[in-house]
Amino acid sequence: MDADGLKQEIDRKIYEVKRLITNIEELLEEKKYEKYIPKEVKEFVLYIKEYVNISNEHFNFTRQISQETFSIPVLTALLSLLDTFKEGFFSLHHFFKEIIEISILESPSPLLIYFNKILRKIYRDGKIIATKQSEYNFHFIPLYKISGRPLLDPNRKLEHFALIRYPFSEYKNVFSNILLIHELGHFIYKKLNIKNKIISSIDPQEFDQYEQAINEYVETNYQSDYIIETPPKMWETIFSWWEESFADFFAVRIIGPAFLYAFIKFNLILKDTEIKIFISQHPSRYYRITRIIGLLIKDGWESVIKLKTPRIYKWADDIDAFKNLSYNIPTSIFSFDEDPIRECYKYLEKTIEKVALVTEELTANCNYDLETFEEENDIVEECLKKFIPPSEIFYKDNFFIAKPESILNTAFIFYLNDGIEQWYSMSDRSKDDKTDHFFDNRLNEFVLKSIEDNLILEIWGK
Amino acid sequence: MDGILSGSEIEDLIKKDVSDPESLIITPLLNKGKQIGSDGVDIRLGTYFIVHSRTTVPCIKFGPKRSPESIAEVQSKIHIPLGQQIIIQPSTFVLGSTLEYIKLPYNLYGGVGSRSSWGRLGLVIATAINIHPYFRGCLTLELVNHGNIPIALTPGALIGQLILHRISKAPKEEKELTGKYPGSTRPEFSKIFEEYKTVKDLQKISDEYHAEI
Repeated sequence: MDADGLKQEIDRKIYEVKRLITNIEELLEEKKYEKYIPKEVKEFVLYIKEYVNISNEHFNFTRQISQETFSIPVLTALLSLLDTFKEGFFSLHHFFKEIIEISILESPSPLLIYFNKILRKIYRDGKIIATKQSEYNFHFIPLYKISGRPLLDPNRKLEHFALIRYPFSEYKNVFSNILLIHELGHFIYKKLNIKNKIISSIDPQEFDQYEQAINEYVETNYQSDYIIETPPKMWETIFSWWEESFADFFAVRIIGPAFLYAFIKFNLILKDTEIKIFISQHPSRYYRITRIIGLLIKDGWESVIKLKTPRIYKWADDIDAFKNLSYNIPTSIFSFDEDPIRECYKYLEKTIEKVALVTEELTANCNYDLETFEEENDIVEECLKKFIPPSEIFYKDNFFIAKPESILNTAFIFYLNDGIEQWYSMSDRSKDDKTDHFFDNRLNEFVLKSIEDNLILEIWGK
Repeated sequence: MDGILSGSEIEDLIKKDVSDPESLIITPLLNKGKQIGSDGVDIRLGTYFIVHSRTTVPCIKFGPKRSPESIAEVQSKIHIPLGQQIIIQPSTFVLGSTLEYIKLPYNLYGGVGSRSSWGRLGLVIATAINIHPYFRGCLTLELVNHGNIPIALTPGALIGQLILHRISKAPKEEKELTGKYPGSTRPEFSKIFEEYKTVKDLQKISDEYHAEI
């Protein structure tokens, strides 16, 4: 293409990309009148406005240069730059509308404020935005990964945002939304490059041995085209499983047994066979539950699980792997991928303690421990029994403010032990009224209210 | 009913153990020294609201729970965290609640009043002002801007005053959680539809009456 042709192409591309920008600007203009949106979304919108301004300046500059030069290499470079911009806008398109349409309307807002606070203790600039989704699952979407190109994040602000999606039918349920903290773990894993920390915690020679063993295994067992893809896939699998395990361990360290309860409660909805499936993105839920319990026991929580939630303890005790700690991979689940996954599992087992150690170091100053639970459990439980949100309560000659973690754990235990049955007996509601979930909803609201009060009291300087 | 409880009496009751049947709970009190006055407790605006949404529904009327005319069709719940504001436009009605969760013991009776400082700006905080013994929950506030300019309200702002009376011969009830909204921590949609049957009966009587004429 000659210089004139390139110039025309540049003009056409600028026109196309500017059309996309104009549409985004229009959406932002509509959003200006929406007052009730979460703080993190407001910050995101500000970022996009800033980005749109920079982009417009950049296009003007590109157009000016293209008009003044006839250098084919310069014009080609400008064209390629515009392609990057265009690609970036398509990436932005993936999540832009979803985020700017979030409102505070009936979201588990206090819980998200609390999770953002935890995030900032570990990753100062981090911000999570949560949205409802149709799929009955929780997802983490790193915004920087979709639009990590330098041109799309000129001031390196977007990289601090993560989007977390939760099932829309669970928006009211605090006990399910505890699982959001696991997604927070994924964000931290990516942002703080935990994978490298784990690798560096392994003896390099040992690491080389793993790598060599995997390669040898693949070479011995797989021929033809499959051999080309398998080695990187196996490492990717192990790294994904590290990430998943890290996110679980992180949640356990931050929130204690409540994470186990939430995880089991969520998985009870799945079929038994699904619980035992290993996939390349994450180890089986069966494996994860046993590891979560293992870490809780290591941190001293066994007596709490055993005495306060005997049903959960019994359930966990019934898992063979929990009894004898041999994590057998269930057979007849995999077909083609069974053997590589079995190999990956072996290496996961060899390195899982390293993942736990890295998590322990990272969460040292925000770990929720047994001692705090034991100090606060009785008063929180007493409040709940008396149908009072455990905010700031007079206890043992002092006004006492329970930590959000104690509120979540004690309330979950109260729920698992059918505590709300006591509320029905205190009320004039009949058993038939239970289908309206009135007291279930009240328990969720009490937890949110107490967590919000805790955050407010902290801001107030108490 | 005995006289109004003094600030020091209120403080004594607040300092009773949570399991004591005579304990009074008002939580959180962000500034006890200032909020507990000589004869009452200043209460703050909470963080949850119900606002009227734009709708094509012609009017609110009595109907079964899930009918298109039900109240949830024309109202939306919103959460305004501490540090943000809710704007109440002129001639607009918003439901709010107190930040404080209140539990009255069996022998106390309460009343809520507006603060005149807000009234002077056109904001009226009309509420179901009587609080019965055993009440548990955040008080619902019916906020109306009667002025000509919008008013920005900040959650946590002092909004009203709670006054308490002791009941001299208070009976102890077996069922403590009664009423339509026990333990509400945020404003809730009206449950007037629960009276639908009564309204239908009234309509029937009215129809029969007109038929006779």
